[in-house]
Amino acid sequence: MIYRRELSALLLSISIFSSAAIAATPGVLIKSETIYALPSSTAKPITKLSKGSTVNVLTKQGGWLQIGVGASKGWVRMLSVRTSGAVVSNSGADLAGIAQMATGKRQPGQIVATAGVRGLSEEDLKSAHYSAQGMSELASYQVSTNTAKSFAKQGKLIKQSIAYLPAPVDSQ
Amino acid sequence: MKKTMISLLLTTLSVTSAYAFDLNDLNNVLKQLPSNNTSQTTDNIGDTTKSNKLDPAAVLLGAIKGTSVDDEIQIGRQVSGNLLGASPLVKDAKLQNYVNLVGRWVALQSERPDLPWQFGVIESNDINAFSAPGGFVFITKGLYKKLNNESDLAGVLGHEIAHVVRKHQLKILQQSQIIGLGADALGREVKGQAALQNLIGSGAEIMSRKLDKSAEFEADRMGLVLAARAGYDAYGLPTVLEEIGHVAPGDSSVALLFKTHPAPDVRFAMLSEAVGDRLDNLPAGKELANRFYRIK
Repeated sequence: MIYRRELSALLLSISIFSSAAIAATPGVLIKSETIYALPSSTAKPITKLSKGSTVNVLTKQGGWLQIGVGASKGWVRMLSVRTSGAVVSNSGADLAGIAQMATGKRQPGQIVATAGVRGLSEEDLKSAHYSAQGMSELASYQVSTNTAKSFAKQGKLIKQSIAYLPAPVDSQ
Repeated sequence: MKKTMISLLLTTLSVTSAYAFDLNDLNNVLKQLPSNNTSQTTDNIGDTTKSNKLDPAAVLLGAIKGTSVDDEIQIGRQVSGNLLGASPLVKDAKLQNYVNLVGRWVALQSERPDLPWQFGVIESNDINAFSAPGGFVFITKGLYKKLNNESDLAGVLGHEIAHVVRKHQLKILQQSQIIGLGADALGREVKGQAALQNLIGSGAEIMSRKLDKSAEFEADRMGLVLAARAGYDAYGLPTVLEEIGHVAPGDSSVALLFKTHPAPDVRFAMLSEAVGDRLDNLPAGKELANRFYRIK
């Protein structure tokens, strides 16, 4: 009986693992990074991966991604892994290269048909006329400071004291 | 994520106005301001302490100098009303209320908690968000549908709130020498809402104008921190940037966004550089996926 229970638990974990594996998203490291055993920089380091390494992203937890690298698994800062456009091999990509990839070249295979879908073009904005009704509607949804605080309390949101981030050097 | 308060003033006025305007230098222009504005002095002209509802030039001066919040709000109201004329609010009171609750809470973590913040989801399948001076913030239905939880929404709204807090749009107005032109318009006794519209440009076109790249990166860094200060998972905004990065660049739903903003991959990479290991010791924030209001 015990054996059966363990077996079914094993099977269950296998099926969870395989569904995660199927859902895995390909990612590329945008900087060289340490891979940790747990989602924390104080956890045991497993290995280091260099910029441009491709990984499989399994799950996200806060600022950390669990990734599969070959047969092993580990955690890496989510801001170090780019998943969009990760299928493209770009181990040497720098910021400029990424920008070019994201803005310059059309990718015909990925274009979604949008005919008939209402968008918001420059022309729409240019020809727009003031909507007094829209503004009074908007104002009707405004909430007070106290209402917002109660809402935060309901969600168990706890304020944190964090300084703004300085601009990285290469943005200047 | 973007909005710009640029003005096509020069073009607009020269093409559509019956007046002939001279481009005076600032000092000359300031001398033309009316003497009946008792809150101003000739040597400290921008320090309006009260809103002058009828004089667009004074409105702009007060808003840009930061001496009159009322003036700033008046500009933002005009721009926002025009945006809603192009793209009305989604008819879903629960959605609008929810976005105001999240937005107000995030805005309370900023240096300008007391602005009359108003948030709205607009009826457009584009992927975009906008803000206007004075605390007006809009997100399209198309972008909202890309969000998966409340911390994603907090990150997006945080970016827009940052533009308002830093007065990025007003700075663009200033750079375009609108002060000089505005004061000249005032001298010709152009007044009222129509005049303010003239100063802003055509419709809500200013919202399709590009801010400086560094302003966008700054708004990303601030938006991430504002959401984290509010107790949310700090990584909502970069998660959304990744989502947007999955949309094909040629897709029309991101045409305006990509025209007015750095590419999402670049923004993500800049956030990565800015954050580094700085948030390693931050307590885990909340995503609140269960509470997230999903559009039907």
